[in-house]
Amino acid sequence: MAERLGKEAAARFAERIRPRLSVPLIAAPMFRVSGPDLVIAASKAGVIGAFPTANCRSDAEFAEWLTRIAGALGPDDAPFCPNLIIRRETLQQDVAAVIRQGCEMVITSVGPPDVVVPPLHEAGIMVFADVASIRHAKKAIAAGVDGLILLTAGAGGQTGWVNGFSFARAVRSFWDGPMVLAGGVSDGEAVFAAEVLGCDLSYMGTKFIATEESMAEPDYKAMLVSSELDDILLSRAFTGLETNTLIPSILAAGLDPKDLPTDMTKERADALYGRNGTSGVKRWRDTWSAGHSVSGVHAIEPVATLVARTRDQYHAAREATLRRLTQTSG
Amino acid sequence: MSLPSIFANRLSVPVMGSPLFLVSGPELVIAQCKAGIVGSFPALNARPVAVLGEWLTRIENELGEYAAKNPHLPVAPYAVNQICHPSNDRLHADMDVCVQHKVPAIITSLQLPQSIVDAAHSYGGKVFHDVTTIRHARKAAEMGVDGLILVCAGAGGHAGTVSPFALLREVRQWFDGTILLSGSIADGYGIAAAQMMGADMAYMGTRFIATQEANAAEGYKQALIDYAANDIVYTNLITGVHGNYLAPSLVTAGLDPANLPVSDKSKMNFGSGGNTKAKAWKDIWGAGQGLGSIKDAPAVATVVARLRDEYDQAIADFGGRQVVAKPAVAA
Repeated sequence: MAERLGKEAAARFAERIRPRLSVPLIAAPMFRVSGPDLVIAASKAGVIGAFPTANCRSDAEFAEWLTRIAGALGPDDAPFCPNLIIRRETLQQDVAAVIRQGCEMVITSVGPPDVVVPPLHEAGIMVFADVASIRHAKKAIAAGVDGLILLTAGAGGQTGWVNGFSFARAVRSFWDGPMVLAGGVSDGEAVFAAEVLGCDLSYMGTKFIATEESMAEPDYKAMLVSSELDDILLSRAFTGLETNTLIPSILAAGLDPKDLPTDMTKERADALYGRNGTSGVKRWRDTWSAGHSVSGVHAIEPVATLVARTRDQYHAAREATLRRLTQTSG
Repeated sequence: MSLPSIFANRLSVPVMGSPLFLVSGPELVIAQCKAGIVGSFPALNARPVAVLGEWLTRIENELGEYAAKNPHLPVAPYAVNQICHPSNDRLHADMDVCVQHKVPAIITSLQLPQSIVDAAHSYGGKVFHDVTTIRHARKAAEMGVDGLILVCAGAGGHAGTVSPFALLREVRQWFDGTILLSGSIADGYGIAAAQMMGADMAYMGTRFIATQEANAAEGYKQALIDYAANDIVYTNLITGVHGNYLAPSLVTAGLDPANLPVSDKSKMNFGSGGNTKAKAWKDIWGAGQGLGSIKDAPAVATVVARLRDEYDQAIADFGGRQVVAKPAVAA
């Protein structure tokens, strides 16, 4: 039998991070959406506030965000968590900046975390990697990560496709470290169910787009309130990778969601919809992302209100289970 | 939460065994019901139509005898699955047989006609309709079904793409009937998690293909033991409806799983002599993403006993779990 991995990271998470959380949740890092206001509000409310480094236009701005966020948070607030995009040109500078700042944890996306784990570990920073398959999960564990984020069907933005039930159970059979469920989680009941499946945390993204503190523009937030699960399209058309997008935003951009190419490559998608794209439609700016949990968005509200409600739902679900437990064992 | 009265005190664990094309027959259904979970089969598995009545009589007799001998054990009711599609020319004849036999539960798939709901309700039968979208769920609820089966990403055979967390939480907001959660549930932890999110029952198929009583080739059962979620392909080529299949079985049938042609709804044919009878179906094996946890093919009773133990363990784990320390946030 191979040695079971992740126990040390689990103990560290349980000791240093979990006691500071009001509900076991990460406000997911979202491109063009997560900024300092959202991150600070999330961490103050007791959930891990994450943001992609790609939201900052320069090294200087990234450093400024880090200083501002760290300065606003106290030792009992939940940690904040930069999201490093491995394939980004500025990766080395981003790593240096989080080390200088003394961040507690980072999330890595889009690419293998191998190169960043050693310097981050040397600085005492925990590394959580997002993975969409068992193969990716095993590779990330071999690279020495401290936590895994399981991207499953229905996550917003660049998503996974597998069912969270089987993915969580399968990874739990070989990994004892912290594990995060991403995909479709919109309320405290789902956060609790994820724990029953063996996860330590859930990702919630879409509901945080529709908060007062998010950087999303008002029309995007309003579209989340008026949309439901059936309005989400899974397509490679805009990025070359499986991405969940709001159908009403595709229509508003003048495109036909039923007639998008299914064989898109990353290069062609960049040429059409990227920063200097030729199609006239810019992805993320004109086409808006959301996950299946969009059905759970009913209002635009402050982060603290969203977190407080999620926490109440989580505890109600938990107490109902404990009641059932005492009934059946009685 | 709403479990129909016909299931009350008759289940050992809240599970319905899903109807499996070609695989579910009287042996599997009887074993499932005896073990205390609802067993089901597609009416189309009984060929020709006359065989359906024989199967129902056999199931009723064996379950009746078993229940009489074991009054202290939960013996679950059984269900029949009707494929509601214009190409299924047996649908109404099959439904007449179900009405005669007063089949306790009818599972309906695809395009539900009101006449099927009414026929089942005429003798007190319960109707459970399977759906993959909110729109379909609303439509079925308006037709008065007793339960909705939410078919999510990773289910075996015909499957959806939706997150179970999102679909279940959404439907539970407005549907007070029975909710069954389907897709990749393969152990008792999954059953417990489904219930904790507001489902009444889990709907499990793939796990029961790898049992002694399943009418599946040994190679199929062995494939479920050998392969994992990475070996599943989602395609509409086989029936015109999207579903999950074992990639190695597609290779054996001469197809390239990485380059499958795209089919369309017009290819759907569930008639008595339709494409569901084609040889391809016997060699192309459906499976859900939960197959990774399948390590053996024992008797149904053994599988159900394990599910029960895991389910109890999942619930018990919460007695000892650390409560989050931080107090509520002021809104």
